[in-house]
Amino acid sequence: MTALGTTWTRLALLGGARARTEPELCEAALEGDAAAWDALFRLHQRRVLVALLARGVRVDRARDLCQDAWARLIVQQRAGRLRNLTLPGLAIRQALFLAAEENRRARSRRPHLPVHEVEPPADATTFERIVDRDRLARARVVLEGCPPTARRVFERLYAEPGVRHAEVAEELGLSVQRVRQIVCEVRKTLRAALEEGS
Amino acid sequence: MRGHPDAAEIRAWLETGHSAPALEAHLARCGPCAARLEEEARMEEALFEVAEAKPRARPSAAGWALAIVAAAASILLLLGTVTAERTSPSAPPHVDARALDGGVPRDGSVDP
Ligand SMILES: [Zn+2]
Repeated sequence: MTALGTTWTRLALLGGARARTEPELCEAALEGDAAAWDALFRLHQRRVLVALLARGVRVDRARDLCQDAWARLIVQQRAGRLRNLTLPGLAIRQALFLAAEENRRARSRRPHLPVHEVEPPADATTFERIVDRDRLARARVVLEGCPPTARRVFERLYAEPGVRHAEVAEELGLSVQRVRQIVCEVRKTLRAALEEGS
Repeated sequence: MRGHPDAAEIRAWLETGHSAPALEAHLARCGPCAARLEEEARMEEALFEVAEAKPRARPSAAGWALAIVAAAASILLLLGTVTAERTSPSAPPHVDARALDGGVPRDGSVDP
């Protein structure tokens, strides 16, 4: 099944009168469809949340910033300033920008706050990658050395928004338990590769 | 919630991103747990980056031949550029401000 096909299935599983593909949702969102914005938020919120947490944003703030980033995108769409939607990148950049802005404001209001309370996440506006090129290449080699099914499970779960274990299990003819086990093993292998020399 | 969540519990929560008020409240006010959360989130983010990275190309024999020709051509081009730079004044480098700040203008608006 193609990635698009599975995305379609996933959106059908998420419920709603009419299932739409992610490109269709983006198109509808750009035309101001509130339900499409909601569906896109549900698909990508975990990715945006993790991006914020990984850069040291406190969990309660990260939750709020996720919402705020989405609200900003909607405002921009309504103002006719959004011509295409590349997700989750656009939402992540917006959320990181808001985090940096918030920290700048906090610092100017309370200049004597301990630094750790207001330290902006590094490179918030540039959306810099966490993994440098060398480590990424090394981890990629390790991933490509994994059995094909393991690689497929990992890539489906990590490179496609909102995908569920049950869905991957059904697609690959595995039990959900086996999918969990596989993803756990691949993570462990990649963790070791990423931690090497970091 | 009881005590401090362990790394596995934090990881399980990060895997879904679903709302877990008690756990999130603890992670927001407990320094050591917040540090563990950041570490786990960095690893999760790293895994996303690995999954999203383009697989390395595995060139065939013909691919290797093409790569060698391309490398030879780029060396010739480089030699040409060096020679040209010796004889002509260089233009000031062009810096795109949007590229520097990741495309997000100072007012926080994001244009496509
Ligand atoms: Zn704790």
